[in-house]
Amino acid sequence: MAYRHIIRKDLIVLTRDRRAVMVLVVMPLVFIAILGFSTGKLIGWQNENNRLHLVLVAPEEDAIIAEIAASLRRRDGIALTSTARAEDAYTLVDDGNCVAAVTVGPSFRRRVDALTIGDVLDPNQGRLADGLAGLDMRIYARPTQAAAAALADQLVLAETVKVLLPHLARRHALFRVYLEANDRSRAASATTQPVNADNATRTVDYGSAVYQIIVPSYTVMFAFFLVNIMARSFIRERDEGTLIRLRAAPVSTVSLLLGKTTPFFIVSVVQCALLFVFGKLLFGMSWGEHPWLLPLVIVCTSLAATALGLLTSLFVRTEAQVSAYANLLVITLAGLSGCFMPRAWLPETMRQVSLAIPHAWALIAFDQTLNSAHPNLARILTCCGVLVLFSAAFFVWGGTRFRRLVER
Amino acid sequence: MCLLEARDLRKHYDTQLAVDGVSLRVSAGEILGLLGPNGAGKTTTMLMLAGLLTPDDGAVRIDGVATDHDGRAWRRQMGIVPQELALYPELSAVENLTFFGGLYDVVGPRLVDRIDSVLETTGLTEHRDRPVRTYSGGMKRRLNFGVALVHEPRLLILDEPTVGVDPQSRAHLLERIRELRDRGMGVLYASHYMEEVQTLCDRVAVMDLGRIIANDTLDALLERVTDASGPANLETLFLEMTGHRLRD
Repeated sequence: MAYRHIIRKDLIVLTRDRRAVMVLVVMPLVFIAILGFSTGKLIGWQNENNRLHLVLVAPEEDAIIAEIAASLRRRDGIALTSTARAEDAYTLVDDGNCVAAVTVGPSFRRRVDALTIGDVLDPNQGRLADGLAGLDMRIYARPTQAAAAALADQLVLAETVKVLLPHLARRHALFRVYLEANDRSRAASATTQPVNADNATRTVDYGSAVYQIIVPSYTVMFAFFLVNIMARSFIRERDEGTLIRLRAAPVSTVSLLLGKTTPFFIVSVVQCALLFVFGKLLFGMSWGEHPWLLPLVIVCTSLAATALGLLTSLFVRTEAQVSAYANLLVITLAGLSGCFMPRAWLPETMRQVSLAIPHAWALIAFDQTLNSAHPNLARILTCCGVLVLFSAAFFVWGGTRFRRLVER
Repeated sequence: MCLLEARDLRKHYDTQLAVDGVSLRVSAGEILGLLGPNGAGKTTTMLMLAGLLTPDDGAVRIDGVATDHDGRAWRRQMGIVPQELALYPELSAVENLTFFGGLYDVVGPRLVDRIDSVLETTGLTEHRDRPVRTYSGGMKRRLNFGVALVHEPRLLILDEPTVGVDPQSRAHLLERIRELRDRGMGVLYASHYMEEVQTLCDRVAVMDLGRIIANDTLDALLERVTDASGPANLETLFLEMTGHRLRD
């Protein structure tokens, strides 16, 4: 029962160690909050920075351009501003305030007037074969935003065609009859049927989705920062001579290791739980379809982190080595496993290689639990099982090394 | 009554023989001083006696129990005061004593009594709830000593317990050790301070190059001093036996 005394003692020591509390709880929260700010999704700041910011340069008043602008503004995920001066628009883009500028040239109206319904029905052959350029419209973006600019190009072209198509159709007698009948029908249904308020106002909360990835990623990374704190605790136990007293006491090696690791396991579970609670309260993240799975994944992740901490603690000898090697280990493993970016973005080879690291299994389990509409229970349990196997292997290795070290 | 008996202990570090056939006995109510220059093998010997290092050869018995059997039983009979402070600086004296007492299954009202007794013995009652990191060097040394007493051991192993201690704290510690001896505790006391050993110990063992080169009562040892130029004391004897060559 000696391990209970060691657990109690280490919990007291840990709670009085401000640096440990900083590293384990405050730092991850700050990281997540900073990423939250950078993606524009902290309390009350929702969505603004998650949208594709475009600036429209329209030198003259034009009804069709106004329609295109209105149509773009109605699209979820697009924030559109307008300016009359191209220089102002370029400044907004160059300063990073807008992803792209859409400039409308002086020939726009003439080219629109020249369009036929055939140009729209066969856009690869007619006047729209060159895309927006065929309407004297251009996209300006920084080279680093090429992908976003290409996306903006297609979005603006699609909205432009959507606006132009009815205008072009009305020039043709056959389509005009159909469109006028359609207009009458819509007007009649507007007077008899209320608009579905839910459908009219429903928007996708892209911002929360960011936290579905950031919170578990940083939770996993900082769970393994425990390695650092544990290593320091073991080193201090040795440097302060208390390890001699512990070993001289009637305490078995198993009790000693159990006593030394359990407090960190408890701290790790509390740390992970706090981050998910803060994630929900501060960032509006979801705990998934089956929140009861979350504690299971947290416990298995903490177990693996604690076991790796024990093993690492027995390989480093000084605090300087902890700073150099333990931090390097933690950051490298986090990077390899996909804590810094969604695992889906990793190359396939990297994804396979990362399965040799416990972090990766924790991330997969969290992703299934938090982000899947139908969590695959078997997959989550497999991940948890692998984490437990990692833990067992690290504990056995750590125990063997501890016995060898103390015998020296 | 023999509390500690070591027979023919040997220990190698790689190819170097650190301890070569050391035999010692400490009886109840006796203080045995262990002297030796740096590198003589004192620390290795004490680690083996405390069960912290397994000897390559030889045997240790604590209160009649071989230390390679039933570790929990014989460890309860022994208190150890390491040369370095072995305390948790974030914890108070009471918390340190509670923790180490718990490891020896001293709990409940008995633990409370023992903590009060140890704090009184070490003169730390007034500072019982202060974090140890706020203590002076002498207070830490006294608590370091007190922690070894919380479970009422019958045998006490002290490795240079007065290093860096002011004269008041040193006198206090030595007086407490004498009291413990008088109450029947067996004490193994390693030190470089010859005058301490001379005033405190009933018998003295001198180690050099991994071997015990003398082990006798203080009076018997002092009779061996051949240098008649000054008063016969332990330091003169020690230098005669171990030589003046510097040790690393």
